[in-house]
Amino acid sequence: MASNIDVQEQREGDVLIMIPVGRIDSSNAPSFERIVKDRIDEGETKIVVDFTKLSFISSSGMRVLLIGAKNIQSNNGKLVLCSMRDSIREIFSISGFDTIIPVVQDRIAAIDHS
Amino acid sequence: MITGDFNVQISARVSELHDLYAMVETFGEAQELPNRTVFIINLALEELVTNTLVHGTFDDGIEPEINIGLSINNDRVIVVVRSNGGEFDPTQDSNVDTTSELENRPIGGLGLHLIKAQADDYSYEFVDGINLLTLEYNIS
Repeated sequence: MASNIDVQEQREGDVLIMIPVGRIDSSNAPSFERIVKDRIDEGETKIVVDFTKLSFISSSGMRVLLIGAKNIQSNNGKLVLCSMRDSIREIFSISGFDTIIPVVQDRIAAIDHS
Repeated sequence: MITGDFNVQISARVSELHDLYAMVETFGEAQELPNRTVFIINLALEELVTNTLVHGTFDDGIEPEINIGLSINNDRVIVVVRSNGGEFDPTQDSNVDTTSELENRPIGGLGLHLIKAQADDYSYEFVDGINLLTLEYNIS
């Protein structure tokens, strides 16, 4: 049974900031995947996913970010992640995702990195 | 520290899963568990339940059933997960690639890797047609 995720969006120049709210797990990862794919298909090449309002993410959600990072890279763009709480930062480290998708401290650093 | 066990049976519908996560958080608050411990237990449960639903094999008329027990023993949280859906040992088979470059990084297989990396101890048995996984987490 699928559910939808609330993803707030803001723009800083040519950078799109996506702010998922709550949790990303197997129930709403497909919804998150559609939204990320739509933005990349629409031509966004600089996307920051800001984790400020995200309390939980499972491997289903991490998979969406990996697919997004691959797709945006193939368009010569870049996906940057920021503002993770410690528990989420830890699983990005264990998985080695932080070696292939930039993870930075806050939004200012993320925009600088984009 | 308050003592007390927690046991819940779910049939793995999404609405029940979200109730389960809330119950684990309530258990964590009652036991004064660190936020990190509650997070990694909920992550492990999410990955295991999803795995059973996606990869489990169920005869006609048999619904997925997952029983989860939480208890505290000697400064450890013990999580026992019993599930049907055919024999599957999640403690095996985790050659997950965590080092390749982005374009070559395989998608998938990560959930079970995270469970094993974050548990301080784990064991698996297949008993009377039921998968029995025990995960242990130091409370620190």
